[in-house]
Amino acid sequence: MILVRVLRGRIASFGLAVAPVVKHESVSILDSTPPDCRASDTRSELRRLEEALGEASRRLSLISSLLEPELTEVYSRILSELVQEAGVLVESEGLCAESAIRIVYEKYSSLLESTGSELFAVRAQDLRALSELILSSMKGVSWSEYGRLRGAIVLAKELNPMTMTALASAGVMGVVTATGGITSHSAIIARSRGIPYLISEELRLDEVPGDVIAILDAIEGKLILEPAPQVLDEYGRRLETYEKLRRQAREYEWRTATTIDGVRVEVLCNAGSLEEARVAAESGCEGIGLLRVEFIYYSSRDFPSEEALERIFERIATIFEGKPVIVRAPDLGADKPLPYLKLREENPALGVRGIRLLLERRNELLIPFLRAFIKSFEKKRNLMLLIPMVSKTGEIEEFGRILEEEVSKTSSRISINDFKIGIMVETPAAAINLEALASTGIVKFASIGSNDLTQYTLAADRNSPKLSNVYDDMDPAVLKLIQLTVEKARRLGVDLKICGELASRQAGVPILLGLGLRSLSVNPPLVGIIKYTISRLSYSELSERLAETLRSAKAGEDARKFAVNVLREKGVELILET
Amino acid sequence: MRVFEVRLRNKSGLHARPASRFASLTSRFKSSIVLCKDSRCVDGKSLLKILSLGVDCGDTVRIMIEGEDEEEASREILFLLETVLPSEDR
Repeated sequence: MILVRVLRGRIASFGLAVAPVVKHESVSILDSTPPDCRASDTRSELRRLEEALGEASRRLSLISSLLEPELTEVYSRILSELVQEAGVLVESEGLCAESAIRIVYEKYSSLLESTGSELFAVRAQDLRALSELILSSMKGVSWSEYGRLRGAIVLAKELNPMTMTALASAGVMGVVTATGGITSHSAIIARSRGIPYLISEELRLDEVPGDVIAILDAIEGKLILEPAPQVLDEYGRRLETYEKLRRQAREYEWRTATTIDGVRVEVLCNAGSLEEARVAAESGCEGIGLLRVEFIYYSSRDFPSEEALERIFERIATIFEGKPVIVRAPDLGADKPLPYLKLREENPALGVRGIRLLLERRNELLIPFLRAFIKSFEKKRNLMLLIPMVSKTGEIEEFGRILEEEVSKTSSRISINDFKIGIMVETPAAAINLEALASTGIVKFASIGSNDLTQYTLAADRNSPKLSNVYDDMDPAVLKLIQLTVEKARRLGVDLKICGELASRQAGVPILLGLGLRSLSVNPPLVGIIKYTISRLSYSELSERLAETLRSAKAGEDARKFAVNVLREKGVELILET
Repeated sequence: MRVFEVRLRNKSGLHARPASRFASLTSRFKSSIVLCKDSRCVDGKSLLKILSLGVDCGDTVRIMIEGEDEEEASREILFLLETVLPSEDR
């Protein structure tokens, strides 16, 4: 059996932990409860249900001080309703109490799971936990012991909120589950208690040995099992720094980010799903700087309907009422295959993707998307449109023509001039020729996609491990191109933003501010840290010093050193990898 | 009998906490209260049934109230859905 050393996953709660792992395997009471046992003494079964409700409520109240008050009320209500409906089944069908509970559970569980949104499927998890609570209250099963989990990183297949609360109180250092959602109650509890929590589909409990040391890096999204000594040392240091930084950053999440010399920097967030948008709204984001809509296309078996697209645009626009929500038109291509969109290319990164694909398949892709956007925009004027992978003026003109046509077909209340349309600057052509692209008239803003820009500038596949020392978003070539873009944007009066990974790194902040950017779109858990970092820097000073650095910079290392030195000077704790 | 439609504007629609507020409110009235989304209708006093409807932000629901206190119930429910929830659950 191969020991998998590094597991990747989604970050449900930000943080770091270095500790021994302990596996938590819960036995499912529900699964071992028969669905069809009958009892002749109905009254006695009803009494058992009442008693179980009493005991379950008592246990719930034991942890209610640890749960948010409204959650306790929700859970109590669900407990009574479960028992009430089970009682009806006991009377009408002569079922025994346990089976009645199971049947009621299954009925609601499948209804909840079929609603589709992750938020609701997660209520099914709560329902399961509560049903098991009643069942275990019936059998007189004692509450599990969590003492042995103190100081450990707990690995489990899944964790219901009550177990998560118990773990938090028991003093676990971190949690990794194989299933779950970032908006689940368990994740919310982990976040509110500051417990790092990673959801990794790669986790297979039977393949992990017990009692090994692990590093839970819920900043970059990985679990490292049995790390080498140097790695352990490095993380030990990071942990200390992280704690210090966290305390400082927390205060900054909800403030506006202003540099020492009074320059306001807009901090927006990237989101790639409805749930991420919800999380972003709770993280101090001033809007969505990049909404990646590809998730809608990947979650259906055919082209998504206009209604489905509209629903999502409106929901997210409502969540961020009054704040910008920048929706990027779908950036699909041969490297991310879809069952209903057969594409074959030798070179997907340089192929028919982004705006090219949108125009090529306008009837199936672009037009439905635009129609949905137009209808949503009528009601939600905070929505903005971003065109992906632009490299030629013709693309923007064609896009504009199609949009105008669809606007006149769809709505009489708005004109194309009402729209806020921007272009992604992710190809060297877009940066170098910004004047021509921006002069097409409909373009009001631009957003630098530093990941792809780096890839195309250095001609290096960003996903290739062999090219990890070529692909570098701090390479002077990339930075100079960004510098050029900033200068052009300034002259043209185009509002320039940035949404690549560079903006989500602490060391990126002095560089980007130094280059003249004032709008960053970052990953939600980093908002506090990025705002805190911005608040310690001087915009004008950075501008001078970065220009100087770039003039003599020979490699990405030079920019990196500049950034780290500046941050050290200003007393900013540096936790994120440079 | 009163029938009206409301579009949910609060961030979480009728999931756990808002759903519970809704159920708490509706349980106080004597009238029968039915909550519908598209073609599915449920007892508006049962939290589980409300949750099972899967009402999300942006969805429109139809509410049917019948009984001696239907007027008061309509007012209060509208107030909760249109004013209270959107201001608290942003």
